[in-house]
Amino acid sequence: MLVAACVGEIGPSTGDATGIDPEVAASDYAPTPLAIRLNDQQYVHAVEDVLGVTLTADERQKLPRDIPAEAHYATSAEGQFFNPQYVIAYAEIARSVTARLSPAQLRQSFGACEESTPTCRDAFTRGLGRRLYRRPLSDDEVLDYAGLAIGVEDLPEADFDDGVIAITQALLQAPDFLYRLENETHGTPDTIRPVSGYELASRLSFFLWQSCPDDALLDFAATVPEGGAVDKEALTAQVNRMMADPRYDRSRDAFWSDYTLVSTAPFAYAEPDVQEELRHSMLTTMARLSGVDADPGPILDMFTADELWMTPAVAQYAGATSTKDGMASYVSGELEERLGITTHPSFLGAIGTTSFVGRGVFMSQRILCIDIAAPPSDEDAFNRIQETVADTEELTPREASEFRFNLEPQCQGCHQVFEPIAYAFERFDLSGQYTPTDEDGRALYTDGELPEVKYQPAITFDDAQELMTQLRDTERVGRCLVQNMMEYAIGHDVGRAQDAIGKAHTSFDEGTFDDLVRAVALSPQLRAQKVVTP
Amino acid sequence: MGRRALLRGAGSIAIALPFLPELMPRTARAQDMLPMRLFTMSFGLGIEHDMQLEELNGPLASFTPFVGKTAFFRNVDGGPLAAAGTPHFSTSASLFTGVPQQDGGSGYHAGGPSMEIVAKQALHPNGVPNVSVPELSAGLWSRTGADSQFTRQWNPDGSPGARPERRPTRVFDAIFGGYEPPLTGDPEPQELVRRHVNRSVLDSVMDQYSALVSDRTGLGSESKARIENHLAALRDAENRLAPTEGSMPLGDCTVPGTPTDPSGYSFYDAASGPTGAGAPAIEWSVAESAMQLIGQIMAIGVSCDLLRFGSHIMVGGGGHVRFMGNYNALGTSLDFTSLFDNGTPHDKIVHQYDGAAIRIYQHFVIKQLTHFLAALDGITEVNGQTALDNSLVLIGTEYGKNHDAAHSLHAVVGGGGRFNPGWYDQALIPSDVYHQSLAAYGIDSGIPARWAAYAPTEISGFRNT
Repeated sequence: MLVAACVGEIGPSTGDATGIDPEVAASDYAPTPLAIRLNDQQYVHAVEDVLGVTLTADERQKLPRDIPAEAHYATSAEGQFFNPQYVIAYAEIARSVTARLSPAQLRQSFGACEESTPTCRDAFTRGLGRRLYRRPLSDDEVLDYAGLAIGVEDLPEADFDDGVIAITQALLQAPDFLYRLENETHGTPDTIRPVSGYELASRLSFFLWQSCPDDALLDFAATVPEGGAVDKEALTAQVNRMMADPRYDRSRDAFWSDYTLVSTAPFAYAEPDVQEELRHSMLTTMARLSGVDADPGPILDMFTADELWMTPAVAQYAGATSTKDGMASYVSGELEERLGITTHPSFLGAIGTTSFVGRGVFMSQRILCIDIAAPPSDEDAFNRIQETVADTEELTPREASEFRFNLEPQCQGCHQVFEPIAYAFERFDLSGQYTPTDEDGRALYTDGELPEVKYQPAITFDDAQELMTQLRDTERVGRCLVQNMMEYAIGHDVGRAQDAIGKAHTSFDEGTFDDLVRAVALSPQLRAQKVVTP
Repeated sequence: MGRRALLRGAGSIAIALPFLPELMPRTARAQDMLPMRLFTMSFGLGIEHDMQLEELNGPLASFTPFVGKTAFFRNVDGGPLAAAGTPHFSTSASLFTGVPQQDGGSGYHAGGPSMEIVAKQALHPNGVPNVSVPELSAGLWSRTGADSQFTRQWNPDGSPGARPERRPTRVFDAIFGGYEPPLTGDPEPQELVRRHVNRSVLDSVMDQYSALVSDRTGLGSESKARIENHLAALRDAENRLAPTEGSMPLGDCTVPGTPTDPSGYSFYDAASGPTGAGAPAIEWSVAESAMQLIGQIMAIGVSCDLLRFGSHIMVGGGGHVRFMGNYNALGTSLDFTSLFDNGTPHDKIVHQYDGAAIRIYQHFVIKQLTHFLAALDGITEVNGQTALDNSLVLIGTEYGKNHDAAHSLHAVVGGGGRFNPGWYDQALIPSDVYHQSLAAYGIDSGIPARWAAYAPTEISGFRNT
């Protein structure tokens, strides 16, 4: 089984080579390929979608959970763990799922045949294999699976159906299913090449559906000429079709879950049932602002949204004058000092700290994509940090922050950039409740000035509402949202690909959430790959 | 501790494990067949040098039952291994690998494999026979910052292995779950078929992974390393997934009943946790119940020879867990609740230095790790020694005092008589402890080959030659 088979050796490409994809050729950035394992959610979706089964709670529990690395996404290669428990889970799930499947039905569904013949079995193998591998199987691969089936059928008391089940179990544990594999070495090392049609289909489906491609997408993949320009109109039609599919909701929720940190936040201050409500409230808000059951506005308006969704318990954190039944929307006048998602109690609670450093680092990274270096860690620096902690122990948080601004350049340079954004939220406590004074009764202040950085002018503000209203209109915030979506889609940190981000930002045109997704899905980066050394 | 007492030690935990006599190791195993086991144990922050000098009268008091089988190293400097200075992610990432991180350090990659992986590969290059889980990582931690702060298992290429499992019932499932006892008597034909299918499928799958890591594929080296990790796990799990007639997946052991997670232990659900006041909180007694249960389950796994390699952790680098409740030790009492109400041990007793509180807090932390040691020590094996005597346990932490990697306590427990117990004050780095401990088993740690600057130091009097 050769990855090389993805390009050229398997599945005749029906298109004609028409020259290299010009957008890819002009691209200055392409992701370095890496065998990214389907994360736990993608695996569940893929098995369920392709086989038409629903995994039981016990089966889901077998899978170790994939947790995004700090400030990344669960779709990212960065920090993806390999736990040996996965191989046990994959085998056990394959066995228990296939025990619920009818071999005859499998042949019918994937081979369009019912008879117990080698021809029908091979048709089944090609059909199911194409869906799970996201490409056609080579003749050798089909032969290997036939060998597996024949070996099983030859056992005493075994029959033809046992062979079909064995093939299904093996396909569900195959590397071509469990890993997103591309031909990484096809071409001159360090050059950029267009991915094959099937590689593109796989990228699109795990981006837009968190799952395997369907037949229609694979049919489209077969029309993409090897190394040639993709039919942009046909590609756009596929992207639009996928975004109109209910499976698209998964991708939206998965993105916002990691973006807002609610996917992993412990919400340690809340009771367990309220912890779930905090997550649900955030995702409902993001879904509504993204255009679910509502007329979507520009997605960047999320930073100044006048309407937030929450359950009664969460609304109490937001200082609601009165709560409503179930999940409900609240406008600013019904809540205390709220405007935009950054004042949603779930957003603030998920950050999990009130410190200017903690909140400032997260907000600066997530909203402004500021690249913050790790603090210096030599012994002198460490001692200096200790001294600073001691020197600021009796100061208010704001005084301590300003003290840090006057430290030596290697410290102040970063702190001056990332701390001020958190000033605006000083009156929101750990759980996102509005508290104008600290525990000693001293007034808290929400004014400040954000220094100028590229694509964002200096901003003076009196409170969070004023800050976010001004930030929303800066190019930096729009570009940063594109950068987040691109990492989510591609699975790699794209912070250094500013030209690519700029082009996708132009295409996004600061439109709706769907415009953002479409801009990234149609960007050349989704179709490009950096060739690596064998 | 007697075997029954071991399990009764679970206190109020609802535990349904049978008594250990029913779980005795395979009777067929002769004394010289006892396998090598290696476990690493770590805890966050560290114990100050002067508290180490208190020996068993300070935070290390819980080691009292094991002092005759433990070598303590009180002058170990982790600084040379910290590629990016001594922030938590850097010092933590070199624990048990013995080499600095690659590329100047990051939170995602270590400089090489951890020692239990080194030993596993050296002894069982084609997979560990019979075990249930090739290696297991378990304990209690909260995630803050880079993953290396709680990752203790590093693959051969230095990529992260399993996250430590925090939930006792999942530790149990990992070791005892999904078992298929050897067929006896006249099995049903369909059962025979099912097992043959399992074997055939596994062989087919392993062939595919093998082909992908060959030179004939279109994958780069980093992707191949990921596939190789998967293949290694398949090899290790082979006898669990598809036991052959020659393998003895359980031998004479009986699968114990499924235990119950301690009441109120929802800690394991917090996938990520900030530090400071937002860090997850847990009653210390509930945490202790969980650690006790995890230690017992792992020990039973060892006694049944279902588990040979693993890591055990009590609080990751930085110590970002807020413990609650009044804890009594060393003749005094510490109110964790008020102390950690709005901050973690990292914030409240290290950054805002409070030596007296550190002394009691680390007593609590160390005690949790000794539950596993106690459980191992409660199992007598065919050579008349305990499972602890017959295992190698490497213990380490990130710092000495505060965030200084000098005097970061290390210890070696067990070792089958290969080491001399005692208190060692020779100047060392962690690599020396790891390298010499494995050398005593005839295993090359690989540290000198991976870290050209490393010159091993002989630890005077350590090896029992």
